[in-house]
Amino acid sequence: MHHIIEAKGLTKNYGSFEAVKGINFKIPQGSCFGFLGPNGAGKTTTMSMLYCYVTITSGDLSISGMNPKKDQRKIKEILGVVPQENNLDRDLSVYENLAIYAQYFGISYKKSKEKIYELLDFFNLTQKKDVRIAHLSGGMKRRLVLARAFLNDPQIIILDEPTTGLDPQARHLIWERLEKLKATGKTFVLTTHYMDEAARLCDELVLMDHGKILEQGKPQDLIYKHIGKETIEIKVEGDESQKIMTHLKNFNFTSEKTGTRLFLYTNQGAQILEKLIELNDFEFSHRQSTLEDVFLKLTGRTLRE
Amino acid sequence: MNCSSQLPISTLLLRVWKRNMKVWSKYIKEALIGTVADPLIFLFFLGYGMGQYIGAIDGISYIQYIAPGLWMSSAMHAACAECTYGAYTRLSTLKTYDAMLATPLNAYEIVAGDVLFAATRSFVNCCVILLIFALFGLIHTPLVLFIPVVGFFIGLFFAGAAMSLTAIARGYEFFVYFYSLIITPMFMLSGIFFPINKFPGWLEKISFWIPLTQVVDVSRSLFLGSFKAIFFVKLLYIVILALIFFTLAAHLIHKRLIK
Repeated sequence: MHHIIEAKGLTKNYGSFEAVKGINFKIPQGSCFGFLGPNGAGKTTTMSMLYCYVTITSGDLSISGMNPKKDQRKIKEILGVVPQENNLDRDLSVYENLAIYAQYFGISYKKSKEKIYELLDFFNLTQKKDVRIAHLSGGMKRRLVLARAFLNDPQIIILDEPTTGLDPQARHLIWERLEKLKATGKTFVLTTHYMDEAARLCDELVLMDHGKILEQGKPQDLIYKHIGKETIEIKVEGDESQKIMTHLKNFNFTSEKTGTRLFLYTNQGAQILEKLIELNDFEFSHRQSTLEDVFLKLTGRTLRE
Repeated sequence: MNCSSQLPISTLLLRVWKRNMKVWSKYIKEALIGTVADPLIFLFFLGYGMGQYIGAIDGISYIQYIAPGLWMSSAMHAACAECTYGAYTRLSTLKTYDAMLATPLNAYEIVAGDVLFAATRSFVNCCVILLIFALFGLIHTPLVLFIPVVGFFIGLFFAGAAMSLTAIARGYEFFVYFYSLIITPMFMLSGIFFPINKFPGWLEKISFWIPLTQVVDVSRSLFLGSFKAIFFVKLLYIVILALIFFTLAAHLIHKRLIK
């Protein structure tokens, strides 16, 4: 498998603060690769090093065989960037935003026309082409920022929280469009706080915390490895959890207790449920395990500010 | 840090310039009124009002005396407005610079494009004033056609200086210091309204080295129909200062944007 991005011992310090502490990763061409982690984990810093917005303190980074310390311009020519903030040109219309941005890549006003219409159509913005940015909804602005990232026909697209703050309709539309674009062979690098988004889009992901990579793999594999297929969530009070654990001692599961919730992670959901019903004493729910369970298990439940 | 001759700048800066021209074309009325009306108001009220009492300075009417200086101050104000409030908005509020940095452009080219655009605004302002002065019958020599060019160079200087401050600004309030403590005193000390040779010696020396003073002098000579070789020395002085401040601004903005 060909790796379009490779990092070895990648490190970033801001003064004495170590934001990224010597991480290694390889991103296969044509895949969607995710960086997950709580706030302050080092995700955005890592992504920013990819598009030369943050300098590298030490370690090696190769992007399509190029070195971000020397080949910034060439690297940026093959990248599309969707930043966390919608940094659109407020004074320009939707169409003008794209035309001016294409021009930054050396694509003339005339030449970019066809590409712009194609992207407007693809991201459902054709009707809004002459509208000023101020009059767009949050979802439209986000779609425009996405469209903008594809103007230069990039090989790699950096998506920094592409759907944060959007309504479910807008999120689903964006996911569907991104999947279509991925099918054309483009490589995506994604960071998100939505585990459903990561599970849906990512072929492979790393889980980061405090500047380090905690775990790496395919979303399903990580779920099976750390959690098991199923999760049972039981409402408990006092020492009730002890009672349940004793009652279920013949089964295979791992457990976690937080406040008034007992979580059981297992591959034997049906049998455990039968046994729980025997007790006839608890409120519980049973569901498939998700990436969010893995995330919380590995990074803890403490708030990050 | 690179030295000035090695700034990694290519003609890509013109792409930034084009973007600014596009946005400006949408607000051209407001932008021109803001920076052209001010000096014209000074000119007509001070010129006709004070002119009644002052009579003539150095043998010319007061309105003729202050017109070429106010012409230059318009160039100054256009460049300063662009590279303080305008540039700070793009740098900080709208993150336009960040958007540009995700393309092949680098921070040096972004600053160069902005500074060149600010000087273009100065030039256009001067051209508009030329037309207005012609309409009011204040123009008597073709040499005034050079005045917008002088305006372009002083625009480059003020754009670079303003941009250096923008690079370290933490909010819009910061620019109040710039205008109150630097621009306004310069405006009064540059010989626009009265001859600097009437100042006390030390103040005259300060005034002499103020870049605006030098271009006001050039502008006044051209306005009165005389062309001197010393103009080139004065312009060279402006260009050198402009390069120094541009280099400073480019480094500071680069340092602020690329962490």
